[in-house]
Formats: sequence, structure tokens, C-alpha cells
Amino acid sequence: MGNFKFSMKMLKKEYKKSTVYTLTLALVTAATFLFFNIIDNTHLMDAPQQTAQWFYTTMPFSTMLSFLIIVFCAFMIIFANNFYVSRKTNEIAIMTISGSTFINVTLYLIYQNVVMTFIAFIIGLIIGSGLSMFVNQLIYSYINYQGSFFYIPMNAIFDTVVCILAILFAQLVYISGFVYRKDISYLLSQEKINVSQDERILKFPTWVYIGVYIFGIASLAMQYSSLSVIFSCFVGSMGVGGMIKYNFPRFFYIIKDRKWLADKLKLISLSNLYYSLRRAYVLVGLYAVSSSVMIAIMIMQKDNPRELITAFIGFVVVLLLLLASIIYKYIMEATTRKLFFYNLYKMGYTYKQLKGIIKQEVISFYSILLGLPMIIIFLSLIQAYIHQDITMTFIIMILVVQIVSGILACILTYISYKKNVFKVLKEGVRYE
Amino acid sequence: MNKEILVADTVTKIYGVGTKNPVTALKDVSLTMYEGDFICVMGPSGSGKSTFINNLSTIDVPTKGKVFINGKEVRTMGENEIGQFRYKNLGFIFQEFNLLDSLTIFENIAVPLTLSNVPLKEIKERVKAVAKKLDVDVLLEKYPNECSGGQRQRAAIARALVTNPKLIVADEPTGNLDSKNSHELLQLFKKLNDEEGVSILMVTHDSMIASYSQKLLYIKDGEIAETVEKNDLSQKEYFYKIVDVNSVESQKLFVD
Repeated sequence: MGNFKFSMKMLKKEYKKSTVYTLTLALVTAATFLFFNIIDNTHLMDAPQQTAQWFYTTMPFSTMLSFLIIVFCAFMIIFANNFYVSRKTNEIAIMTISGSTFINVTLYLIYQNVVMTFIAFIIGLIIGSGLSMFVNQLIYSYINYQGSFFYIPMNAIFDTVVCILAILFAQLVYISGFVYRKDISYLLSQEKINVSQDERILKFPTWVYIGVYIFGIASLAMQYSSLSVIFSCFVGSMGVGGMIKYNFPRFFYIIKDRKWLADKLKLISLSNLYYSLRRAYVLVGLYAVSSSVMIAIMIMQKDNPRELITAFIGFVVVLLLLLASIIYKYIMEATTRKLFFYNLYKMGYTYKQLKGIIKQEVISFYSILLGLPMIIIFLSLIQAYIHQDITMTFIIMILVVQIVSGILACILTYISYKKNVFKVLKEGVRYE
Repeated sequence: MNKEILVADTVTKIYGVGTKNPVTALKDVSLTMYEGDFICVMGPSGSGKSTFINNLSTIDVPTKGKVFINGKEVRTMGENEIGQFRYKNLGFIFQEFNLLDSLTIFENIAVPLTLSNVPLKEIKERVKAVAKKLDVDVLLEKYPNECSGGQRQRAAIARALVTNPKLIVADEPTGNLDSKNSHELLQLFKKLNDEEGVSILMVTHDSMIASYSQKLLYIKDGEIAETVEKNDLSQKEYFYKIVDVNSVESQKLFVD
């Protein structure tokens, strides 16, 4: 069987993994396309001449923001790809053992990537076009501009194609590097590894991360300006990722040892929560930084309608993309936990208790994900309310978007996690 | 006569019922196990050994036939009752170590005690005691993937023994142990069986390990093909009988 045919066959066989990855890619492509639409929309470019005073620089802030969000989208694709490839290490190892060369394995992964990226591009363009019309309508009505919102600039399609091609090239470099560097025993052990090594170049003491987080919060209470909110939000939420990776393990260890070792649900759910947080600490940190900084940008741009609405759209899109990535990662992790829950069942845990464990873990995960940045966000909004006259409606809208999207992601994660695990409990595992 | 603790009455297990290719893993198998029995199950790969002990120990439900535990049919027991029976009476040791990856070795061993609502202080004492017995006391703060195969196997055994179970169900418990550790484990099983009356149901491929039992069931194609009892035989004589049973098929090849 040719390499291409084989790679397509495996893609079909692992349709669940492939579908979730393709959908993630499609969502990111849609977001990229949406923001290229904002940048390339000539009606919006014309808007300042018609309504004059909104712009005081030659490059509108919204264009810069859109560009930043596109860069963020590109990183999300590369991140999703890294994770996808890291879940295929067994496959790569078996191919290498069976005599496939470096070129064969690289091509095998590239074929799969190109096909999935192509499908994702088409789906992304369709979703993106729909979203663009909705967003055009929103922006036009917000800045009182009369124009057709059924408008997709050709440049936006072209720019998206160029962007996706550049990302594909980056993936090619990453994949070939990954396959080249890793030996067989490393590849075979990767999908099972749970304890990550401390690979920090600068090993700060753990209290530094809490210090950074508290400093961010404290600086919000000090002298206030719309620019200082961005600084405080950025610094404060930078501490979140570090706290999760380096402070939480010790904290969890102590509370388990002192109290929850004797609690049949919490002992397991807390151990799994620690594991899930550690695996997703980059995403959790990124969620904290992006959401709080985007809110700070909105506060800063509250008097510029076009910038404000672009920032708001950016906020929603970034939030949704990050939540989609977190759900994707969680579902992938859940597929590796089937035997874990089957073992608990064998030891005497009931279905109800197992459901309780999953529920506790997922709710705690999302409480930490939302809760840690929420303190910073809430303080920023209160400060802006006092000093900058932002409206209560604005505060409520921001909080509703953040909390509701988080709750929905929590429910989706719980349902898919439970479904994955309970399927095995019902069907059983055959050892022989 | 000792009390019956486990009865399998013409148990049949068919996998993939309703599909194109159903597989019959067990055919009308019956067994009565009494308190203090030490039964060993042997047979070629794929003969149905694991299916047999899974069906007997409430892990799997038979397609036909009945399993009685302490006189009560498993199917009539509620989920809570089965769960309670497992963590109070059964100690499982499986061929895959089945330690929980996200828990330390200490926490893994503690799980059955946590399930039995043992107080925190007692959990710590009992885990440390059993860990010392199985020589895993230096590993208690490590995660399973930081331990070797043999260490993980010993930790899984410690977890199975920590509740002082009345019945130990072991599927290839010596699979990843060297010969010295294997015999030490079997001596521990024998001691528990002789002195504390713990019943043991064990699957193994190793005739030497099987010679520690009192009774051997040889399973072939989902049926009990032969039963050998130790009775008054010495361990050596019993071992040769077990080797004979296991090599019948190979001997036939030369006769034909």
C-alpha cells in the first residue's frame, strides 16, 4: 500500500481524533478569515473619511488588533498540531520499527495534515463568511455606517490562503524535526508519560509566581490609568500558568495528605484535576492573559466605537478559540483514562461515584480556569467603573460572556468525558 | 466442611452477542470454591482463563448461568452491594498492573481503605505496614510511571492485600517479577492461605508457581478440560503432575 493511501486509511480509522482536530483547525481558520475581513474591508477603510474624527493615526488600532489576533490564531494552529502529533507517537514508533524511513514517516504525517487543513480551510471559510456578515452588520450598526454587509473582500480569502500556507510550512518544519529528533523508545513511552520534567531555564522559587499574581492585583488598586490596566492584567495573569504548574502540586499534595486521602471521591478527582491542569497549564495561562488583556483593551478603547467593537469581537473569538482548544485537549486526555475508570470500577466504585469524580474534576478545573483571572478582571472593571465611567451594562455584558462561555465549555467537557469513560464500563475490557 | 464462598453454575460467556461474529469465551463452566481454597487456573493463551476469573469475581456478567457469592446470586445484587462486596472482601491483582497513573503509590494502596471509610490515621498506618511487607515503602511518594515493572507489580499486590481480603483474585501476579520475588510472593500467598484462611483464585502460566496451590483447573477452549488436586502429594510431585497436564497437547504432536 502506498504511503498516501496508508495515511488516509489511518486518518479514517482514527476518525474521532481527526474530526476533532479538523474542527479545531476549521474554527481557527474561520477566526483568521474573519479578522482578515475586518482588515481588508474597504467600506471600513472608507469610514474615517466619511465620519472623520475616529482616527488619529494612519494605522487604525483595530487593524493592529486584528493582526495580533491572526498571529494568535496561527499559534493556536501550531499548538493544536503539536498536540495532535504528540498523540501519534506510538504510530510513528511502529512505522519506524517496521522499516519506514524518516522521509516516509514525515510524508505520512504531512499527507494527513494537508488533507485535514484543506477540509478545515473549506469549512473555516464557510463559517468565517457567515460570521463576517454578522460581524459587518454589528460594526456598521455600531459606527452608524450604511453599507451592504454581504461583503467578502477577495483579499481576505487570498490573505487567509497565504496565512494557512505559511502555517502548513511551519508544520512541515515542526513535524520533520519531531520525527528526526525522537528515537523509538522515546516515542513509545510518550503517550503514557504523566510526570513532566522541570525544563525551566530560570528556576524561580515557587512563591515568585504567587507574588507576580498578587502584584498584578495590587497594582490595580494603585494609581489608575487606562494603560496601567493592561499592564496589571498582563502581569497578574502571567503568574497564573506558573502557579498552576509549580504551586498547585504542593498544595494538592498537602490537602490530600491532611484531609482528602480518606474521601473516596475527592482523593481521585483531585489527583486527576492536578494531572489535567498540569497538562493544560499553557492553555490555562494563555486564557488568563488573553481574556484579561482583551478586557483591558476594551476599557482603554471605550470612546472609539470601531476599536471597541473590534476588540469586543476579538475578545469573544479568542475566548471561544481557547475554550475549544481546552475542550479538545480534555477530550483527548479522557480517551486515555478509560482503563483508569475501569480499574476504579473493579475496585468497588459505583457508577454514581465515578460520575461524581468526573463532575468534581471538571467543575474544579473550570472554576480555576475562570476564577483565577476573574479576580483580576473584576477588579479592573470596578476600577474602570469608578475612574472611567464605563457603564454597568458593559461590565455585565463582559462578565456574562466570560462566565456563560466557561459554563457551556464545562458542560460540554463533562458530557464528552463521561461518555468516553462509561462506554468502556458498559462494554468491558477483554484481556485475552 | 468449609463454607461455600463462590459458586459458578454452568456459566457461559459470549462476547459480541448480536454481531456477525460472536465469540464464545466460556462454555457451561461450573465450580464451587470454599473458604480457605487455593485454586490455580492454567491453560493456553486465549483459552478463557481471564474471562473465567472475571465472571467469577463480579467484574464481568455471564451471558448464561449463575454466579453465587456467599449464597447470593450476583445478578440480584444491587450496584452498591457489589461495590461493597469488592472492596470489603476481594483483593484484585491483574496482569496489567492497573495502578492509577495520577495517584502516587501511597494513594494507590490507600484507595480500597478510603472506599471502606477507614479513618485517615488508620489509612496511613495500614498503608505503611503493607508497603513495608511488600518492600515498596521507599516508593510511596512516587508515581507509577516512575517505578519499574516489578515495583509496580508489588505495589499492586500491596493494594490488594491492604484490606485483609477474604478472597484474592490474581491474574498472572508474577508476570513481571523475577524468580526470587515470584517465590516470595507465593510464599506470602501460602502463608495467608494456611494461617489466615484467605481463599485464593489465581491464573498463571508458570507450573512452578501453580504448584503452591491446592487445586488446578486446566481450561481449554472455554471449558475445564482437567482438574488436578494436590491432596497428600508433595509440592514436587504436584508440580510434575501440573507439568504433565500442561504438556499433553505437545506430547500428542509426537504420538501422531
